[in-house]
Amino acid sequence: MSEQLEQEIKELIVSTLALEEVTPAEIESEQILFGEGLGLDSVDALELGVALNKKYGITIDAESEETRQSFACVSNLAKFVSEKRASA
Amino acid sequence: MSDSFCSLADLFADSSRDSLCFGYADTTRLSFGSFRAGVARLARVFRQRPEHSWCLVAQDTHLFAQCFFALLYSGKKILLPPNAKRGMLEELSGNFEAIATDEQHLLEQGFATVFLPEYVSLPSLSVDGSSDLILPGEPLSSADCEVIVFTSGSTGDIKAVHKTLVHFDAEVAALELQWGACLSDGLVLSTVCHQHIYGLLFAVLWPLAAGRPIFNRAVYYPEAVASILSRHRGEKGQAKNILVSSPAHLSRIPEYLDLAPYRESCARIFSSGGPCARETVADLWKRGALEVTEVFGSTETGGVAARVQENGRVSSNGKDYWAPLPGVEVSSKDGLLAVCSPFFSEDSELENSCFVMGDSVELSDDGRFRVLGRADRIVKVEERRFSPAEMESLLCSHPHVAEASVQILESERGSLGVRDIVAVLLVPSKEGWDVYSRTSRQSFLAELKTLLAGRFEGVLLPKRWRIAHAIPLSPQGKRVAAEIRVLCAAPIASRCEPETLSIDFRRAELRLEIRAPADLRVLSGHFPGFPVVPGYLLVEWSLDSFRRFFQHEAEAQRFESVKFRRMLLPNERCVLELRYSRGATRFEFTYRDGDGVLCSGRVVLRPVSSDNREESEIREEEDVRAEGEERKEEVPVLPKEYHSEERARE
Repeated sequence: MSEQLEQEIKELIVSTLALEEVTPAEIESEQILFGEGLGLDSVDALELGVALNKKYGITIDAESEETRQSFACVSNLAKFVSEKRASA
Repeated sequence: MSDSFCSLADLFADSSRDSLCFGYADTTRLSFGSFRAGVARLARVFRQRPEHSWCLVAQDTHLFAQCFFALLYSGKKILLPPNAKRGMLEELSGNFEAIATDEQHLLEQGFATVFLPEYVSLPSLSVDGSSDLILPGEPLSSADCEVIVFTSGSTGDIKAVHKTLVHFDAEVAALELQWGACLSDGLVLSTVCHQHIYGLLFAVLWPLAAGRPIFNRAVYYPEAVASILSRHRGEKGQAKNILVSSPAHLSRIPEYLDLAPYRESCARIFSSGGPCARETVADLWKRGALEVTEVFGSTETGGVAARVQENGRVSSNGKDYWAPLPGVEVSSKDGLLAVCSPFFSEDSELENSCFVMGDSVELSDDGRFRVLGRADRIVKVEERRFSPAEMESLLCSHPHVAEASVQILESERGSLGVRDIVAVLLVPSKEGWDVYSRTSRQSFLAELKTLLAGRFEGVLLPKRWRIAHAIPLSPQGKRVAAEIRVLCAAPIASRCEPETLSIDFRRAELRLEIRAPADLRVLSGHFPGFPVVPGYLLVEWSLDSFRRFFQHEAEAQRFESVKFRRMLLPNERCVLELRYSRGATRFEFTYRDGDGVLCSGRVVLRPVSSDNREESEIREEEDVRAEGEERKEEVPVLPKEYHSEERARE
């Protein structure tokens, strides 16, 4: 389940952000998404938040430390999404 | 200074220059006397015409020069359009009443026209016709001689710049003062068009004033330039010709061309329109010990400064400073280059009689200056002020980079709308190509990304990188933003597509220089240990390119006579040629490299137009029946394994 969710999120990242140097399969689940890692920036983060909201109906508190941690890598995001969905 | 130097206003004041050589029509020598006769004949025509403002556009430089002075002698105002395209002339048509031209196609466009060859037939020019007609033996009244030239801003809008003969005379005198002593009376050959200020001054007005012969047309091909230069070495083989050129030409002299004619017969090679890339300068020096004198200027200011970049070495510490031309004063206004000179009008957009240019500048103590970039290209990306020029110059400081163009593109984000992103079109240096070919695209770019990340914040870092062989330039040496953007916008997302290195698009023929990516996705397993670009991809690429340039909606009905002769390996470059006549139902494609054809074939298109759909479907069916025999050999659309097998058999 979580592997499938991670795969979905990777696909969402690549398609939402129109990444062209990387495919979903090439994103590692523990790879840092921002800055030196995958190279996402703050606008990408906002857009990714909107996309997650649309797809999974979860809301994101942009200010919280939890959110920052969740957006660090795909596996954190997958955990975050499944927790939010479970509690909803 | 040339002994025969004379101001433009006094050129026809008497007949003392009549025996000088005015120019060459190919190899035929023409005297100044015959030139003067042509001017007189045309002046008589223009005097009888009621129109005051004349649009002058001519291919033949001799006709152009004659008409230029004939119009001034008739008291007319001259407008020089950048080119003779119909759309351009229509856009400018509010500024002129009639056209003087040697371009036949302009005669049927509904403008009032004087067709120059009708009055000054070229063969008669070779006859010394000084007795034919005499001009009024008085000098022109320079301040009343109005000429309008145009400049196309980087945004693409067109702007009129008003000049008088006073400005041209001042500038021509300054040019002669700066360089006259080291130039004798060699031929002036140009690779740039005289409709623009640089060509007008360097290839027409200055030679006329200095008594240096003018070639009768601009020559665009390096092979032709070399052969004309060879022919004009003078009696003792020591003629000192002058080449008026631009980076567009100088950076494209093919490697096989011997540069000896350039070196042996040119006293000086001028270049303007844009800066010469360090690589171009180094290459010309290495190949033929050629030195390029660059001129910095603008349509508004005329010439401002000149430099000769350090040759032979790519490092350019301190050597890219420009020295102002005689009579020109430069200063810095809020970091921008401010110019004061007698080459332009006092009344236009001036601050304390200085014209402030759009270039940010660094002045040195000795009065020279260095251009840091175009300051007017400040854009906002996600509310942040961003200077593409700053990123370009940082990229160019890396040894792997020869040139870079930074663009802002819109990136579609599906339901999220559109976001502005930064894209880079990069031309690697020789060292850079080496690294690029040896390693992967990713590792080549990694270093550059780190370099940029050290100066620019995240949202300004490029999201798209395109590697190219050259940055597209116009014949005037200006970067062509539209073409750069096409190159940047072309997708590589699937990594199933080639990188486009250059585009040469004519009406019925497209030549794309492409490079198979080293990390082509489909290569894994094709074949283990020996990666080859699959044949079906070559066919697909041709169809993709056809869609991009000819018909967006084209679909293949079938492929015919597809032949794979040689393999294309990852990292290899080749040229893809498409030939298509508009309205045809098929196109041909050929992949070539230096040694011959890699792959070729024909693509028959599925009829798309809904209006005649039924009819064409019926026709296609008939076609199919008629070509039944041939069809067996055709390659069906898409079963990719088939192609791979065919490849494997090769």
